[in-house]
Amino acid sequence: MKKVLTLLSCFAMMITLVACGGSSSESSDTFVMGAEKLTGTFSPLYYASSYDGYVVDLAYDSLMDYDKDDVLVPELAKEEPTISEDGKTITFKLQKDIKFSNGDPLTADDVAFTFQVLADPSYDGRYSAKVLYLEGLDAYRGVMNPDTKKYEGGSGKLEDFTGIKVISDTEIQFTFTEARSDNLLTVAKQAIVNAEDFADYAFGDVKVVKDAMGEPNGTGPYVMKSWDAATGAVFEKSESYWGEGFEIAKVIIKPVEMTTDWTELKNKSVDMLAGMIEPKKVGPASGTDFVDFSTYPRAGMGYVEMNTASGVTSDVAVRKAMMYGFDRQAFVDSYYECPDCKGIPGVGAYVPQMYANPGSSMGDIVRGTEEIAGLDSFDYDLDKANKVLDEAGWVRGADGIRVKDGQRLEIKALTIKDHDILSNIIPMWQKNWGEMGADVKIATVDFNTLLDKVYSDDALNEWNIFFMATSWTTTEVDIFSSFHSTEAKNGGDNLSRISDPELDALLDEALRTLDEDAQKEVYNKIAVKLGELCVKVPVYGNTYFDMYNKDKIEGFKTNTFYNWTAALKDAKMK
Amino acid sequence: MIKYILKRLLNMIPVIFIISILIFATVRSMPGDPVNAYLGMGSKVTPEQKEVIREQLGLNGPMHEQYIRWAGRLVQGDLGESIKYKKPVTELIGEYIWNTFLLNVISLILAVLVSIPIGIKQATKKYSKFDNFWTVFSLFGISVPTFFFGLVLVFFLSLQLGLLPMNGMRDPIQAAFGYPNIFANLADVASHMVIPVIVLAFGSFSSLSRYVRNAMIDVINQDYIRTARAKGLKEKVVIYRHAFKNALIPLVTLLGSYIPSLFSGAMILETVFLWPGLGWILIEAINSRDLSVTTAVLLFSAVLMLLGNLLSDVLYSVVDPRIKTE
Amino acid sequence: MSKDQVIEPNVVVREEDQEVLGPWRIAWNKFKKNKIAMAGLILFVIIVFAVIFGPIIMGQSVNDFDFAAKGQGPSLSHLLGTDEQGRDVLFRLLLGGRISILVGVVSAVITVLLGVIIGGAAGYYGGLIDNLLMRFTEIIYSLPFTPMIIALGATMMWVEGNIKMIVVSFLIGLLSWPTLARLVRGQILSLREQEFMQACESLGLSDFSKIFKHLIPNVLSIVIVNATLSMASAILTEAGLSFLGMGVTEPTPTWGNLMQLARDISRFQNMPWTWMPAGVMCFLTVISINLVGEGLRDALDPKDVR
Repeated sequence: MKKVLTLLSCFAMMITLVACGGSSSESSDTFVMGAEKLTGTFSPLYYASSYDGYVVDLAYDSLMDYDKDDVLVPELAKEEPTISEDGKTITFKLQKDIKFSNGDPLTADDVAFTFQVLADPSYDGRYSAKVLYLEGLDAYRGVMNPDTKKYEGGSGKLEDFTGIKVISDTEIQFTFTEARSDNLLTVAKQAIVNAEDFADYAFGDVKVVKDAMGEPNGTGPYVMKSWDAATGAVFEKSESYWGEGFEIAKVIIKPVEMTTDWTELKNKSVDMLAGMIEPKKVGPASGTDFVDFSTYPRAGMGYVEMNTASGVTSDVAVRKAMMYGFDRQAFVDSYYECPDCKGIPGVGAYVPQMYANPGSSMGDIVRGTEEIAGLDSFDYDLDKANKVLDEAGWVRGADGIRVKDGQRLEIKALTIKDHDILSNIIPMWQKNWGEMGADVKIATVDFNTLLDKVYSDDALNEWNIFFMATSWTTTEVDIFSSFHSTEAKNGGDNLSRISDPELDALLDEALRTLDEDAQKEVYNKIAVKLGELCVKVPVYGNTYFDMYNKDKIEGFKTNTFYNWTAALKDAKMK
Repeated sequence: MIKYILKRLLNMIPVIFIISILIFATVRSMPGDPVNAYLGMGSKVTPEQKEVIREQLGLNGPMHEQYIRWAGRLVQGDLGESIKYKKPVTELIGEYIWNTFLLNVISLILAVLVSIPIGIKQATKKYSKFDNFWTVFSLFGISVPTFFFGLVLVFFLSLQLGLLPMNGMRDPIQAAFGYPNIFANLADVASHMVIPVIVLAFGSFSSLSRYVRNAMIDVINQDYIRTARAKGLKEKVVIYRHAFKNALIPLVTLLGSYIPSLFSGAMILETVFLWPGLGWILIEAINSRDLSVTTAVLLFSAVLMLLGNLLSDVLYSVVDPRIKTE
Repeated sequence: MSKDQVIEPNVVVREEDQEVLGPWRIAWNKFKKNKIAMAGLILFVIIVFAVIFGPIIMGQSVNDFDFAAKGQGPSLSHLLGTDEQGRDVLFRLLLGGRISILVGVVSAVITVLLGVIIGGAAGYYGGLIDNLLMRFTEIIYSLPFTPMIIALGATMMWVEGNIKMIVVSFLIGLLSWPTLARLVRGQILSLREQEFMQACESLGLSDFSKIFKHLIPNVLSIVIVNATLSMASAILTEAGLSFLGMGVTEPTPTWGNLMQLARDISRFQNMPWTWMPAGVMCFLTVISINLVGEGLRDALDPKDVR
């Protein structure tokens, strides 16, 4: 027994000894950001998670970027680009004397190279759509052979790729096949890589680019020193950085779990957390004396999407009744209620009027600050829901469930697991829609399974609605692919499979209208149309809270499209 | 003996073959398109482009063709490439396996050191208060859900008392900018290990102490111990020199068969403590449909299990010649 | 069960004032004397009664929620408070207990059936059959559990929650039997070498009667003890699966997915009534089962006389 005690006490001593060596984020020149785990994909041509995106943001620059008022301004570009009369051609002039972190100068060739990789036949990243509308893509990349599933017959010569033209070392021109309103954003926001890093690159094999994914080399303010999945990524200020600001010498992105992140901020093992929404984190943080907030409207929303191609939701009356019978305001009020919030005006959630990017030019309509005649806001009204169903011929059966033409009103809802918001919404659906005479079935699957089911044409009769949240990182309106009938196909983005000629025409018009006022008018019409069709309905929009340790850092102001990596520009350590 | 081992090893080949088919098939039949998981949400990649990517990731064609391609590379020692981390799976496993081993080996040593003296004493004082206490205590160990116990420890030791870090393996700042000396490095890792080690060791302690106790009771009931006592030897000598020596044999064989499992990660525990080991990698790989990593780690664990079984059979027959090695 | 195993109520032969009891009566008497084991049994019975009848008495529905009453601490109207959706924690706790315990029972039954049959056959027939069955055991043992659950989860999306739960239990049972099979096989191997089996052999008894009348009763104690242990571990496995977000999913409560509410640190700190009871109940149930198992082990051990 004595031995056991000795052992135990040894162990206890070890604990106390090592405990003294622990926690020390007190070092004054290092800023520690808490974010979800990085995966090591730090190439601007490949990264897929927004957390890996932080690394890209720190290490790279793009031709243009948002300033702290969310206005798109030149970054690597010297001035605003010139756009041709027909809207198809955009020309950028580059700043001189910009260097990559390894000292190489930035030239127009680097910009061209960046887009060349995206157009490579072997490119397998997620940004291939950026070159989709550039002129000469097929001549350069080739055309896909459906048998081999490979692009074949491409020349691989830049002179055939007429969409990209290097005019001089500091001037580059993009030409698009059509004058789309999103052309500028598509090219301007792409971070630029260093062509000299990939001298071994040959057309048709992007391996060298992929191999360098873990070693970012951009023109950005920070250089990554080391990275591993468990401790995160470490950055130092780039010696060859060309711009101003960014006085903080060292930055660390430390992995944190969503379930414990607030505690890490409280324990000061991280200095900042971005994009917080939960009242149970924001509330307690507002009660401390060292946490300050930078708040901004989130360019994103949670929504439900309804299957119009199969089952009961193919009846627009059912879709409408479901919206009248779903008390979204009650959800928002209950979920975002913040009794602990001190000195901040609640967490600012709202029920959006329509599905579109709230950070875009449609923001006012989305947020409901601009009223549109004829746009139904679908306020909760159970009587109305019942009336709509009655009128459409859905009759209550003996078991209280409505029936029409022998079909029971059975709503199959696909949900994902471990989702705080869904655990509030599901019981509401079950109760409210149950009262409406619907039999609500819930299936909880993991995220990838859900994507499979909703993207696949084979699974169309396996679901009626699903819930999802999305965020945008640019000011694009982004409604074309969600609603246009050309995307209503296997693997396409129009998951509700809505196919409405009138809506298609409006969407086409909006895409090709470059004048902002005229475009807005079309968008208003689209909003009304979407309300009538009721296919992708927002549930909540909200404010984001960036919470930071004000004892360590000051001058920190983020915005919707101006995230913490950009805001470091004016921030200083105390 | 060598013949027996060789025979068992030969036996393992068809077993591994079948296991590999089953694992491969189950992993591939998980819903969730790896291409979509890899590209992320809202990528706007055209369906045609997705087909091109699928081809490049080797995820095209019927399942049996995929299996043959995969198995062919496997035989050459190539486990494929991680879609998520974009590096060879062997490299990935090599990176994380030692973290798992470190955690497991320290916990096991600690459990052994504590459970042996307690188990012996329990056996010598059967049904005493001491025995009853430790019996119930060890039942606690196998009755409490590991993650729950871990969370409770984190709550008190990290959150309330602030003694220990909550999770992870290293302090990011120190790890990033270098430790002043090797001791600081060790101390940092050790402090991160304390809670997971307690949780793991508690579990192993529970089963080990029961095992030691029962093995000792068996031995103490044997005639030669009675003889030793009858000779008038001191009780201490009887217990520690004669009885324990004999009880040690089954214990050593048990521990021997543990060796392979030291390399296989505990999914739940490593997830709770964000411990960068194989269990953590596995759950990440499953969630992101990183099929090559998932398949490789599962197959690796299966092989470890087979080796553990073999080792335990071999050790038993070495120690106890009465057991036939047919 | 063979005849001599049945507890015959009044086979009390007075001979020098000493009772002659059947083996089961002896075991039961020993078990009764073991206070800790009895406490375990009583606790387990209470828990089972509570989860079966509690929800009926409370008469609520799983779908009941009330945002106005969310996150309340324990009070008279809600003995264990309410969760973030304003649902009664006690009700969900008891409902979850039903599922957790049922998962334990179903998978223990499967474990025992498969373990005894396969382990028994391997040990009894030996040779090639033994070799094949043991290899089969190894194969089953290494089936990838988590991906299987995910794959099954998607094919059973619209299957009734209760059936899904049974499938999860089946899977847990399928995963767990190899351990017991190895034990039973070992035991039977050593029994086969003993004299009474050779006697059976020379008497020319059928396989059936050899296995069921002579071998099975001899491994029964191992089996019973292991049945309790595998029930306990199945409950823990379900809890672990729910922790990883697999297994039985929301909105169906189980102790596992009630406990995993504790992963969220603010809930963990500020609303302990939502997750703590499930942890405690799960722990109490598992330990009560383990105590009973431990008591049975002692009670059924013929060598051990207190």
